[in-house]
Amino acid sequence: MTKRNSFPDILPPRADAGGPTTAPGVIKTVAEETKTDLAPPWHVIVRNDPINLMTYVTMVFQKVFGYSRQKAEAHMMEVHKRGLSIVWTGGREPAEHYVRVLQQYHLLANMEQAEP
Amino acid sequence: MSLHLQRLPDGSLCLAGMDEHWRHVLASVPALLAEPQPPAVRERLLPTPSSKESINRDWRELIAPELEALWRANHELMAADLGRLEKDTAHRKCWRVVFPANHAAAWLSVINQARLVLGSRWDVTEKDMIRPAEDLKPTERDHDIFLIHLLAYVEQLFIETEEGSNQ
Repeated sequence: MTKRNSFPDILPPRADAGGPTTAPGVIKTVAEETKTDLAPPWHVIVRNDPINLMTYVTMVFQKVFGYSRQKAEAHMMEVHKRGLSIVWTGGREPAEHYVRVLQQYHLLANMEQAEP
Repeated sequence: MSLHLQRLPDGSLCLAGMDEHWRHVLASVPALLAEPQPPAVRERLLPTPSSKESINRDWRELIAPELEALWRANHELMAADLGRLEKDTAHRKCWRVVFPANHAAAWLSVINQARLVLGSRWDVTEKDMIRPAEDLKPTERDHDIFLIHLLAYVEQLFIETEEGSNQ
């Protein structure tokens, strides 16, 4: 990142959206529940690039994740100094959503599943 | 008179103080993005999202075309706004363009994308980006690095306006 030398407003997915649904008459087994619960979470990772401005990256983190300025800057600095930052961790679908939105903003974003 | 972005009383935005040089720089942006991009540029704009092939396949088929369509719409919006450049009556040697505030996000996206396209085209590094301007040479690569910096100035105007509107 460099210092300084349409978007539609993007809302994070609702916490209650995309959860498992059960059709009427279908009994979910305990084993299925357990399998879902134990699935390792996904990390959304942003990597450093030499072109994006630090102020721009901070702004994107604030917009996409609703992070405070302080938290967004901390992630931005981690990207700048360490080369990457895990900016969010959670379920696969929200992770895909966030990677899509971050790429829409032209950040170098990808997702990796945490080690079991 | 320097290039600046201001909010007008009716809420629209005005990019003013645009001399011939700035006018040329901004006019070059939509043209630059309309060119077919080499694989390195495409890979930078649409990086592989994961190490899982099933995710990557869906991405290529569904998400990548959606993002490209969105970016194309942004390019068209900015190009249409630039088509309405007018002489700045307050500063006769300058130009200005007025556009709705909700176009600002498209402008910011396009300007940022243009910088990334130039950067990936020439494989620009952090080291290149901190070279003093006087060290730049009269080559096409250094010309484009200089253009990346110029566009960063415009991008920062949009970021500050965005931050101002959130306070």
